[in-house]
Amino acid sequence: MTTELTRPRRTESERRELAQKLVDIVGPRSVLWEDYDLMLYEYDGSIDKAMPDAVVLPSSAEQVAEIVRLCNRERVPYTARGAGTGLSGGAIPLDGGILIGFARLNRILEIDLDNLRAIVEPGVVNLHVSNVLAKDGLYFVPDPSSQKASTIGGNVGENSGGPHTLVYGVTTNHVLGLEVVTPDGEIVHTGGKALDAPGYDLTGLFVGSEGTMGIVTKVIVKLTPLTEVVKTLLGVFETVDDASQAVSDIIASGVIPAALEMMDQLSLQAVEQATRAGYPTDAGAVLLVELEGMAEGMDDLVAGIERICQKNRAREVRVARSEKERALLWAGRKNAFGAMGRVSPDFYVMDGVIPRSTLPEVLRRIQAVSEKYGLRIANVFHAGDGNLHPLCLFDGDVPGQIELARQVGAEVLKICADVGGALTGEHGIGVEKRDLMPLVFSEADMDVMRRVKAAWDQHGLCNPGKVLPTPGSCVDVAETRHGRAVLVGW
Amino acid sequence: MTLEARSETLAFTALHDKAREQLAVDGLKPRLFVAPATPEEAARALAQAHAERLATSVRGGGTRLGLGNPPRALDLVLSTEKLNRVIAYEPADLTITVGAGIAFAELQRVLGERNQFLPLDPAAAPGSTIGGIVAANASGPFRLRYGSARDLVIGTQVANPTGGLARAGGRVVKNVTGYDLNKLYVGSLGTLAAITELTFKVTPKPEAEATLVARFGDAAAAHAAAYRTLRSPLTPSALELMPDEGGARLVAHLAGFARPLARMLDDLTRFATEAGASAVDRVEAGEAERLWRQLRDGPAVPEGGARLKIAVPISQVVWAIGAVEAAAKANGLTATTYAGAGTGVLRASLGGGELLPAIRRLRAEAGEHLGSLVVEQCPLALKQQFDVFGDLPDNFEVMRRLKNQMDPGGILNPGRFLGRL
Repeated sequence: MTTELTRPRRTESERRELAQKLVDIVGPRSVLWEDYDLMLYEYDGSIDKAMPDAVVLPSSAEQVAEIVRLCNRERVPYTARGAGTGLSGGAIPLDGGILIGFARLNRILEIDLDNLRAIVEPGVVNLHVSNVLAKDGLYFVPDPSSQKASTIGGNVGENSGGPHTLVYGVTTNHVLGLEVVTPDGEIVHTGGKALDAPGYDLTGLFVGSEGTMGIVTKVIVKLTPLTEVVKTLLGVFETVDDASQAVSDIIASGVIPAALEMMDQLSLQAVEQATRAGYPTDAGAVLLVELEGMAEGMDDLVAGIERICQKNRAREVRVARSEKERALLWAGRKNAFGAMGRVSPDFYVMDGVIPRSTLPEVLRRIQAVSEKYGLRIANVFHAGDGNLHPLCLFDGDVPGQIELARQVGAEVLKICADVGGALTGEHGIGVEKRDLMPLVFSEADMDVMRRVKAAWDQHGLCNPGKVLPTPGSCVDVAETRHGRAVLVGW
Repeated sequence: MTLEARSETLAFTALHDKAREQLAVDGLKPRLFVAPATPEEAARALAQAHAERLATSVRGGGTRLGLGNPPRALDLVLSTEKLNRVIAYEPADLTITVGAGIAFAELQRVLGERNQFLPLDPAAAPGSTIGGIVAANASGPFRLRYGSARDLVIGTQVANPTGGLARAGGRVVKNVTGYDLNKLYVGSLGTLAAITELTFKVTPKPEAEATLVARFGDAAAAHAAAYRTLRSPLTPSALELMPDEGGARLVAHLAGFARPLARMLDDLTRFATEAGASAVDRVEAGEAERLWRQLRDGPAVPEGGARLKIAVPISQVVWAIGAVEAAAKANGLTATTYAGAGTGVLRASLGGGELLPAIRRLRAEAGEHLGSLVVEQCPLALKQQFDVFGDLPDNFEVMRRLKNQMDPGGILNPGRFLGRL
């Protein structure tokens, strides 16, 4: 199955006609329809691309509803797009049609301290919410690495994660209600400021549905107090097995670190070339451990983790004693992806999840895949929640290497599925992994998902071609098209 | 003459009178019973029920049958009693997979052996199963810190009337693969599918715990102390208000490692005192256990009375306590309320008279305060007169379509859900 446009693009006169109808709804300054304007919207953070017929920027839920009703009348597919930082092609208008952008739906509508809630429009940038709340000692917990750019609407669509999910959960644990324009063009509300709205949990169902069940126009989020202290340690280990055992021992001791990041030897070497963070390049793995919470007893916890690392043959354990030292310890990890640029012209970030305890076996199998395809793979791992980010290094200028990288991606996901893991921990299915869904779900499983989608979307125009493969499609790796591997955050 | 292969139909047991009585739901007695031994059998049973259009109720421990509108029909009870194994437990991964019919107490016992627990604390009468708890989205005071079932379920397997067995989520705690159908099944009260298997994320048992009771002259002062705690770095597991004649008690559960626990005790004592508490006492373990069981079970319901669950934004908890008192007084009723100061979830029992006007009034007022009122338990006659879950939300068409998609024959608990779906 290819990821090209599945129907020919509208002709220029058709596009102009469509644009005029959109202008009738939102005014002339909120519709883009000329090619040189649309090119900016052809890409997101993934390898996929497709040109929309128009981009429309509504400034109210009512306008969104009218746009959806217009699309239904004219049989035009529509796709919501936040900041376009997504990594699985969720904001790409695969079937053509229009993009709905949220640049004009980007206000924080209400901060309700008494109820620890905020109501925001989907175009608000994630980090901006927390910045505004900081003076009250609060923040919005989900902090995906894209948070300086990604929008709350996008976070809702993808159920975004980040490095701190083991303790604090993901976006769905911090969203309590939505205003949604359904694919019928109706404005409905789910959840609310209070818990347990009667009926089915439509809010929970909608979060992570990748823009295929409707268009969010308001989000009610939970506010959380800022943490009191943060303690950071770095353990340097001889082998991944040792580091992995240390992770298990830490959890067995009853401590749940806020972050637990592991890097393997190739990642370390790339990082050391780029930033000289002081990692020994012959070490098997490093483990970055971060604890958050109250100040009392924190030193005991840190000492406990030091002991566990040493018990697992850690070559050394560094404990940050100041914010500066903490930044130094993280510098290597934060630059890991950027550092790949030192050792390779391109790289493909993968996102899979495995049960934590299977890590050593999985890394051995990934090494075998690397050797089979002749492409190096560096591994960065959210050891706390089993979310693996293998980085496949390749050179896009060498013919066939993009395709090879894609195949490596598919094989790695097969390994994740094989050990009882998941195809994606953060980036979503989108286009990228749609045709690999049969690795973890049967036809019966996906049939239920199709029914649920059909309950929301009876017209089939709401971000079509995402998440679910067409019934009965084969498990071959999606063919590659031209594209670039794009640098991403975590 | 060739003999055709006979399809393997499951035998549904015909129930005798006494059993029909015991398995009745809101007075409606089923005729048939099946207890599948495997999820596959459950799927076949449900497919058969669908083919024969048998109104079917999934049953765990039968401890929460009072919840829901009266069923329109009841032919078959599908029991999960045999789906009660621990299927996979990975302490190092903090995940466990169990059959939906496992007793809640047994699940916690298994986790306890490895010093872990599932941080759900619903009212759980003996025999209460995890499947039933999840299907009812039952929760308790600990949801303040740990969330409710929707935050703890990471994978489901269900039997549905048309398609056999289906999975959603998985066995890993971080997962955005496919639609989050787990959220759909939680709280769906057996109206979309029969849950056969559940995977949870679990958590280590805390090193130490403590229960603090602070006495206040009024609920507002108690709530102020609670709110201050919510804005602080403290991580209480529960903050419950128990209003009474003399004012209100704030009952707090704190847990963690010894030193942060000590700090939490100090800070909470100070917050309470500064908010005007006349006494702040640490309660010893035995009494604490009794108190938390009382809070989990909710206030006792007098004969002929009702238990309500009112959920409001947290700033409206004090209003809600007062509203229950006022509505009870205006209608000559007795009322007892326990309120989650940090969750906004109150449980109130009403009794001793005409309940309907009080319930209608409270439901309307709860709505005006951005909340909801669900009647968890009440006399059957009352259930005919209103929807126990509430008025139809503006998204109800989506719910109706979901129900139609998942249960096109309308055989699963017909009439019991919101909107008598």
